[in-house]
Amino acid sequence: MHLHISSGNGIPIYLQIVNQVKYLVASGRLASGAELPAIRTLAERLLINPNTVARAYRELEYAGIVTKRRTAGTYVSDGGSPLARRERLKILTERIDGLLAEAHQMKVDAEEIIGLIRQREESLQKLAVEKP
Amino acid sequence: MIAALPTESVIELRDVTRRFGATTALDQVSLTVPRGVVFGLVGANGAGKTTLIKHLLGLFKAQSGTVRVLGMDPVADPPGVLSRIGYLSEENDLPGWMRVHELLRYTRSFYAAWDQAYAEKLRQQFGLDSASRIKDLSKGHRARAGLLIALAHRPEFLILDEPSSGLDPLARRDILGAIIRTVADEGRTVLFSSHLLDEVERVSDHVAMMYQGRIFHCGLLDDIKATHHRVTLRFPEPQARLPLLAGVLASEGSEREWTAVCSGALDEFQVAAAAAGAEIVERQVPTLDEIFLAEVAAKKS
Amino acid sequence: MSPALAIGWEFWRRHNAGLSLLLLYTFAATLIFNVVPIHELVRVLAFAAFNRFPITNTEVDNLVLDLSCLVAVPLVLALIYLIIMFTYGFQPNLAAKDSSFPRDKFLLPMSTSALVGWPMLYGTVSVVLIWFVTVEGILRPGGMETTAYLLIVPALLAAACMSWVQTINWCAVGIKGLKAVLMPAMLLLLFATPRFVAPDVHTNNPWAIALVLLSLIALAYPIAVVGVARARHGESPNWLRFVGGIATVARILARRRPFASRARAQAWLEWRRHGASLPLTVSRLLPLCLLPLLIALPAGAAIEFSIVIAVALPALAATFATATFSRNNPWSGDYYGVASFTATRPITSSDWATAKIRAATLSTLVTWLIVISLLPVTIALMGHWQVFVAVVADQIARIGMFALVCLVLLTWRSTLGSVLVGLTGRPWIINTYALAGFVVIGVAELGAWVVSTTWELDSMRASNQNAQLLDAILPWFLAALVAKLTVSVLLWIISRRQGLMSTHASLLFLFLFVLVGAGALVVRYAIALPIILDPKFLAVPFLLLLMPLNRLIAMPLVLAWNRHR
Repeated sequence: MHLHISSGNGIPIYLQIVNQVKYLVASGRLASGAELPAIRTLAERLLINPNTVARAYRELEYAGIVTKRRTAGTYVSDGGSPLARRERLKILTERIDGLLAEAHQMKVDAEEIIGLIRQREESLQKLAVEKP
Repeated sequence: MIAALPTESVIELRDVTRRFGATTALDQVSLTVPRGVVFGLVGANGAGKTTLIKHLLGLFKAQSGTVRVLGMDPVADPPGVLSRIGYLSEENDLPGWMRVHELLRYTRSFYAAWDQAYAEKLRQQFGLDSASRIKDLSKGHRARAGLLIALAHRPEFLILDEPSSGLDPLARRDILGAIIRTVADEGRTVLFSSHLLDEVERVSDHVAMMYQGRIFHCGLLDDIKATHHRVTLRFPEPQARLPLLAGVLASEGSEREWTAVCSGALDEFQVAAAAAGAEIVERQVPTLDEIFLAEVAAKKS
Repeated sequence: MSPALAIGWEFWRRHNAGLSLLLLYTFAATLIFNVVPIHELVRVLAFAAFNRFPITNTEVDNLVLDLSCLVAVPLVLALIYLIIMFTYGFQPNLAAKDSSFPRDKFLLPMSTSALVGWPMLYGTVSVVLIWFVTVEGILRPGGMETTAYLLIVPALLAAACMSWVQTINWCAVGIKGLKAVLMPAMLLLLFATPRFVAPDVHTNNPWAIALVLLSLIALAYPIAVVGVARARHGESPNWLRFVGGIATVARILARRRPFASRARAQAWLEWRRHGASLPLTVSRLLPLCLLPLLIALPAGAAIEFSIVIAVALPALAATFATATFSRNNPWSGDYYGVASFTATRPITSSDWATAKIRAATLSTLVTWLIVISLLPVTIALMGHWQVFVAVVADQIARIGMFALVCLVLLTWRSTLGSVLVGLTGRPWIINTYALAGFVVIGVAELGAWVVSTTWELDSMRASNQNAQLLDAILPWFLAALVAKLTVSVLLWIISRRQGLMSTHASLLFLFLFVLVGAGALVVRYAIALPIILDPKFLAVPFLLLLMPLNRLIAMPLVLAWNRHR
C-alpha cells in the first residue's frame, strides 16, 4: 500500500491517510479483505507519529471502511457495494465541486461544462475502440 | 538497588530560572512532560532550548526552581537519572580520536540495559565501520554514531537536542525513524528540540514553543492546530495595511487581498472581518511553521 | 599592510600577554645589570645578610655572576616559549601523523614559501636576539667571560631548534608516532653537533660550528615548504598502506570484551585522553638537559647541572600542563575540563574523579621512568658515562635519594594540581594558577640559590645557622601539617555530605597518606642524611606536607562543581 504524506499543505496528516485509503479502496487497488500495515510499521515508513496512524485507522473504522480484528490487525471491510459506491460518489462529488468552482471563476456556465464532459467521454470511447 | 516505579510524568520543571550574567536564558519556566509521548520543543536559536535540556541532564544546576527527571534530581543522582536516558547532543562532543568499536566498548560499560545484539544491528544499519575514527566520519555518520549509543541501551527517555541540524536527508530519516520506533514501544518517551518545524509537525504529540527564555505555548499539537487559522481576506478597496482585527497574529498581502494567521475562535474573527468590510475567501489550517512565525511576530511587535 | 607584517602582527596579537611580559623582563634585567651599580648593591645585601662576613671583591663578583645566571635562566626558558609560539603551538599531536600547520592559513592568498618563511624568519631572528641580549646585556655585565663561542653557538643552536621544531611539526609523516621519535632525535642531533664538529669546548673557534648550524637551518626551510605544500593540497601520506595488518588488528581489537566496571572504562578514557601528554612533553624537553655540556664547564659540574635540569623538568612541566593544554576544545587531545560527553554518562563524580587521579598518577610514574631511563642513555651518548656514574654515586650518598623522592612527590602534586585547576573550567583560575606557578618557581629558584651560596661562602657557620634555622622551623612544619590535616578533614566532610566520597575512596586516601608517612620514616632512617639537613626528623613532616592529600580529596568536589554549573 503506497501512501504519500505531505506535511506542508494544511491538511491534517491523519486526514490525508484516511482520504488516500478511501481512494485506494474505492478504486479497487486495495481489495476487500486485504490487510493494512500495522500501525507501527506504517508510522516508521511514513515517518509520522504512531498516534496519528492510530487516529486515521480509528476514523476509517468508524466510517466502516476497515475493521479491526482484535489481535490480528486491521483489514479492509468486505465492503457491500453500497458503502464503496457511496465513498466513490463522495470522492467524485468533491472533484465536481472543485471543477464547478473553477468554472464559475472562469465564467464558464454549467451547461457548457456538461457539454464538455459529453465531448470528452465520446473521444475517450473512440480511443478505447481504436486500441485493440 | 530498588528499581524506581514508573512515574506519571517524565519531566517536571517548576519555575526554573537561569541567568548568565545580564542575559536571562530561562525565565520562570515550568514544564511537565507525560510518559509515552513525543514532545517537540520549538524555538529560535537562543530561545533557551539547549539550556533547558542541559538542566534535565544535570549539566546546569537550577538557580531557582526544581528539576525532576523520572522522579529524580539529576544533580543529586547523576547515574540514577542518566542510566535511564539516551541523549544525542547538538554539538560534536564525541571524542574524535576514538574509533567506533572503542566508543561502543566504552559506552557499553556504563549501561546495565545495553543490548549488544541490537547495537550491532544498528551499527550495520547505519553503515558505521568499526575501525574508523570518529573524526574521519562524515557529519551524518557522526550523528548516527551518537544516535547509536543513545539507543543501544533502550532508554526509557530519549532526549535529542536539535538532532537534524546540518544533516543530509538520509541521516534525518534515520533520526526520525529512531524517534518513532522509540515511542512506538510502550512507556518510552521522546523529547526533541528542533527548529525544523515540518519534522516536529510530523512526529510530535505535544509541542512547547519557546521565545526569549519563556514557554508561551504548550499543549497537544492537535489543539494548537485547531485553535489557529490561516484566512485570506478580500477587501473591496485596496488597503495600505490590514486593519486591526481581533485575534490576528501576523498578516501579509497587498492592495485588496490579505492573508492573516489568527488564533482563537473563528466566528469572532468572521464578525470582525465582516465589520471591516472584508470577505473571507479562503480558510486553511496553517502549518506549525506558520503558527510559530506568526506567534513570534506578534510577540516582537 | 603587507602579508609579512600581517603574519607578524597576528603572533603579537595572540600572545601579547606573554610577549609583553618577556619584553618587560628583558628590559628590567638589562637595566639592573647595566645602569644600576650592581656590585655595590650585592655587597650591601650580602653584608646585611651574612652579617659578620667580610665580603671580598671576589666573593661579590661570584655572587653577581651567580645572580646574572639566575636572571638569565628565565630568558632561556623564554626561548622554549618562543619556539612553541612560533610553531603555532604544538599540542602533543606528535602522536598524530598530520601536519600541525593551522589549516585556516591555507586559505590566505599567500604562497606556501611565504607562509612558512615568515614565521621561520621571525622565530629564528627572535631567539637569536633574545640570546644576544642575554649575553651582552646580562651575562657580560655580570662578569661572565663572553667569548665569541658563547655568543654565537647557543644562539644558532636555538635558531636551529626553532626551525627544526617547526619543520617536524608542520610536515606530515606517514606513520603514527614517528614524530614523537623524530623530534627528540633531531634535537639530540642538533645539541650534539657542536661536540662533533669541534670536540674541544675550550677553543674559541665557533665558526665551523656556526657554518654547520647555519646550513642545517637553511636545510630546514625547503623541507618545511615541501611538507606544508603537501599538507595544503590535502595529501595525507600513509607509508604503511602496503602493510594490511593495521585494519585486521583494529578488527581484532574490536572484539575485545567490555570493561569490568564504569570506573575502569572511565580510567581507560582518561588515560587515552591525558595520560600521554606529560611524558611526551618531558621527553621533548629532555634534550635541554644537555645544554650545560656545551658551555665551557668542567665535566663534573656540567653533569650535575644536567641532572638538576633533568629532574626538575617533570615537576615544572606538570605545573604548566594546565596553562598550555587546557583548551576548551573537546576534541583536543588534552582537554582538561569536563567534557559533556562524559558528563552525560551515568557515572558518579566520585568515580570519575578517581579515574582522573589514576590517569594522573600513572602519567607521573611513566614520566619519571622515562627521565630515569633516558637521562643516563643521553649522557652516555655524549661520552660522559664515567663521570656520570661518579656523580650519581656521590649524590646518592648525600641527598640524592631523598631529593628524588621529594621530586617525584612534587611532580605528582603538580600533576594533580594541574588536573584540579583545569577541572574548574574557569579561565581566570587557570591563568592565575599558571602565573602563580611562575612566581613560586622564581622564588624557589632564588631561595635555592641563597641557600647554596651560603654553604659556599662559609659551610661551618652556615651549617650552624642552618641547624638553628631548622630547629626553629620544626614547630612551623608541624603546625603546617596540622593545618593541612584540618583542611583535609573539612574537605572530606563536605565531600561526604554531598555524597561524593565513597568509603572505598576514603580508605584509599588514608592508606596513601600513611604510606607516605611510613616511607618518610624509612627514608629518614635507612638513608643517611647529612645532619645539617635533618637534625630533627624534618623529613617526615616535610614529605607529609608535600603529599597532595587535599588535592586528592578536593578532586570530586571540583569536578562536581564544574559538572553541574
